[in-house]
Amino acid sequence: MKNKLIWLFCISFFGIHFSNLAQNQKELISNDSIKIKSDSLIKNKYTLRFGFNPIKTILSKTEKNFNGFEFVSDFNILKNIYIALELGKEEKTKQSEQINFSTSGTYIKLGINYNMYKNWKGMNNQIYIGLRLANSLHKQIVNSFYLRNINFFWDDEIITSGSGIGLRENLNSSWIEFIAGIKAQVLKNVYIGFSVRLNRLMNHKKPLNFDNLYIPGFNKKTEENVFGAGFNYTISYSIPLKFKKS
Amino acid sequence: MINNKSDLIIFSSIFFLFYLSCEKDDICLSETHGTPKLIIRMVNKESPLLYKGLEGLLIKAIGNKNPINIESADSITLPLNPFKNYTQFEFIKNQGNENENIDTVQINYSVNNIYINRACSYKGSFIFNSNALTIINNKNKWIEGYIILKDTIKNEEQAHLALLH
Repeated sequence: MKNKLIWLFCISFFGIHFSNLAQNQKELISNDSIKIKSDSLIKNKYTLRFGFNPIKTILSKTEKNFNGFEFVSDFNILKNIYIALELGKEEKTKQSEQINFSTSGTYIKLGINYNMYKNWKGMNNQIYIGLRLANSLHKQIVNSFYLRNINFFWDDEIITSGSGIGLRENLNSSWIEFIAGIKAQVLKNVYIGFSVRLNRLMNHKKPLNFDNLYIPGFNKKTEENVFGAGFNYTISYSIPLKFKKS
Repeated sequence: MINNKSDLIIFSSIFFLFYLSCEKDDICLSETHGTPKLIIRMVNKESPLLYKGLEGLLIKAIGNKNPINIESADSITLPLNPFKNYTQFEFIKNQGNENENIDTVQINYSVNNIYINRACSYKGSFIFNSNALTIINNKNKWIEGYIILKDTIKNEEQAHLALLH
């Protein structure tokens, strides 16, 4: 039921949006007949763009506890609608309060971007909103922890072996992301981008006697709250593909 | 330019929600239970259903100088060591008198740590071994035996062990 409502929200969210768009275009067409020609020209110009997340690559070099890479790609299927894809791999070791754990895994995010920015001729910048369906395959390792310490009689000791410690394999999770972002052309065919992401966890396989405190691609999962947030930077290169109208 | 008002609203609302989703602090609430203590009932050796309190009993944990409070004569709570698989206690009867009698008791168990949440981490729980309790001194024992009431110590809601004397 909950899932259904969320889907309904997503569909209506975008549905309402595109109906608006269609109306605006009609107005334009009736006002100016030259516009129609230029519109039809742009429709035949496709761009395939691919790139990576530079922050994750830099962090992998500088941070001892992080190793990751993210590949990004998008392709316009309509004038302002893009199919977008992100593929990533992460390994992260984290000290969270009393628990030290490592998470490693891969993720895929697939969805669409809708560009709201009206470019001047020849420009290809974007201010966009987007939606992704995302999935991760990952594992968690509990490295060490301290026990809950309340009026403790015995001296506290760090636990690094035995019950609770160790690997939890074959975990997965899925979530949806709502995105707002920008992409700007800095050189010919080279873009830098920034986006903020609101993540809504749909389901996850909980590790035995532990929790998915961090999920690759999703980021930190908080207690009793299925919403997460993230942001990402991209550098990408576009290949213009031109098809002549026959 | 963004040429559509509704576009701008949706764009800014995602930004706004992003900042709203600031995480709350991870604080372990004080009412969250930690590692449970062992609860022992002192019972009559002839009829184990009857509680038999013992006034003037003193208990010391071996290897730990912290005092153990005994709040009631027939029900004792003892802190088991969650970093080992046994804990030794000295049960001192008639402490300070000429007929003082010390029984050294070893509780044998395996530890099972249970995940609570991110802020509170884990807590210990204990499972008794087949020989849950051994009395180390050979002579002059005043503890005559024991009965396991619950073989796992997960909470402090009821007694886990009965001591016959």
